[in-house]
Amino acid sequence: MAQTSGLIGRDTVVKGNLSGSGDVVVRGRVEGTVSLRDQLTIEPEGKVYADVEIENLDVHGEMSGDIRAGDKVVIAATAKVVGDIKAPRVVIQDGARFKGSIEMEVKLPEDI
Amino acid sequence: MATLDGSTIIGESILINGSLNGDEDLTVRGRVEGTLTLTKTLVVEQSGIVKAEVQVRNCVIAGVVVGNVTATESVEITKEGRMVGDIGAPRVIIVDGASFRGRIDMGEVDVGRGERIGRPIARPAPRPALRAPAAAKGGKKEEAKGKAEEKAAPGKPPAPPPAVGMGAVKRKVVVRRK
Amino acid sequence: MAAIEKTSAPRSGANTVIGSSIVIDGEISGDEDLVIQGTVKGKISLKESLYVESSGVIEADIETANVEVSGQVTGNIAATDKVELKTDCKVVGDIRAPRILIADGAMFKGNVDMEVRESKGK
Repeated sequence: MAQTSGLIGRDTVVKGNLSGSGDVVVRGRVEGTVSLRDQLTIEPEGKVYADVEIENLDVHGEMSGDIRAGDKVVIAATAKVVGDIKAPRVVIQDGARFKGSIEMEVKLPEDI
Repeated sequence: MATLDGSTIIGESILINGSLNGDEDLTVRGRVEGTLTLTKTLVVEQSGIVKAEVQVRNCVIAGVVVGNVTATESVEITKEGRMVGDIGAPRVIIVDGASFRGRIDMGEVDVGRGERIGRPIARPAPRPALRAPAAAKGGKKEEAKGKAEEKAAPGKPPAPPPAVGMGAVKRKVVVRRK
Repeated sequence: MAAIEKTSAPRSGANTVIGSSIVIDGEISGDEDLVIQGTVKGKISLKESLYVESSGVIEADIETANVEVSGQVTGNIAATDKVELKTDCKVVGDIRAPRILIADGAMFKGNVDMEVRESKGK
């Protein structure tokens, strides 16, 4: 696990482009675009209104925007997410609120 | 909690093509195409293939579903499950390892909009007072809150009649005794 | 949430049971036994045995190896092995099978054709 290289605290608002590597944890608010190489964690108080390009995304708070992940997106039980997701793995936990589309690779049998 | 009597199982080698309606749980191990409407639970087991418009109370997908699923309670896609289509249900669970492509609609999801980058960040205009006409003439915007009274702006001639309700208009009531 | 394993005891060893509240409008085909307690309209084509239980209502042509009817069938039945109409069943349609059993109390209206087939050793 990469170390937490960024923590956006509860009363912090970031407006603009957030990019870099390492893990970022959001407890405050981010608006704009996010482009990170590793993991973004949105804690339950966190709010992200941005299109996100990420390796792993773990949402426990609020998010509105499109998501492109290289590995996995987890929408946890306390999360509220609106947006389109494109990732190889997506997990929606019981209790999560989500509205949007999800595109994973789906292998179907040939005779469908 | 399987109901032994009257619970329906579609075996692996069975193919049903048409519309299927029922008031009981249904387990699909074979193939169902067309439309599938149940008031209870649909379980698509690993060998099951459902290529249909599905309307149920609950749906558990461990096999393949191609088509839209509308559930009044929940939809769960297990680790082996694969689905292509839209889901409309108040509860949706997608387990790690599942495959899904489509839209998910759980009803209203209340998320603040926030401002996306690109839009100029404008300061909200100060709230105009309840009609402070005379005062506004000077071109200065006053902080309206709390300053509702006495805008008796100094000077300036043709002060338009103050709007009603300003409180600046006082009426004297004189009672004359005869 | 829901119990996923629905391995309910199959009737007569059949793996597929269409329960009594189920209505199917379409075609059913398969390579295994089928028990019908509900309603099927359309067509049934099986390689094994079809059991129409007393609550079963079928409005369809049936093609299978074996049929055992305790319920209602309106349609033609063609079986490669045997057709059995049990007491209190109601069948309207033509039956074509090498062996046919009609029990006392069965209601049947239609033609019967017991063609003699030359399968292995008759």
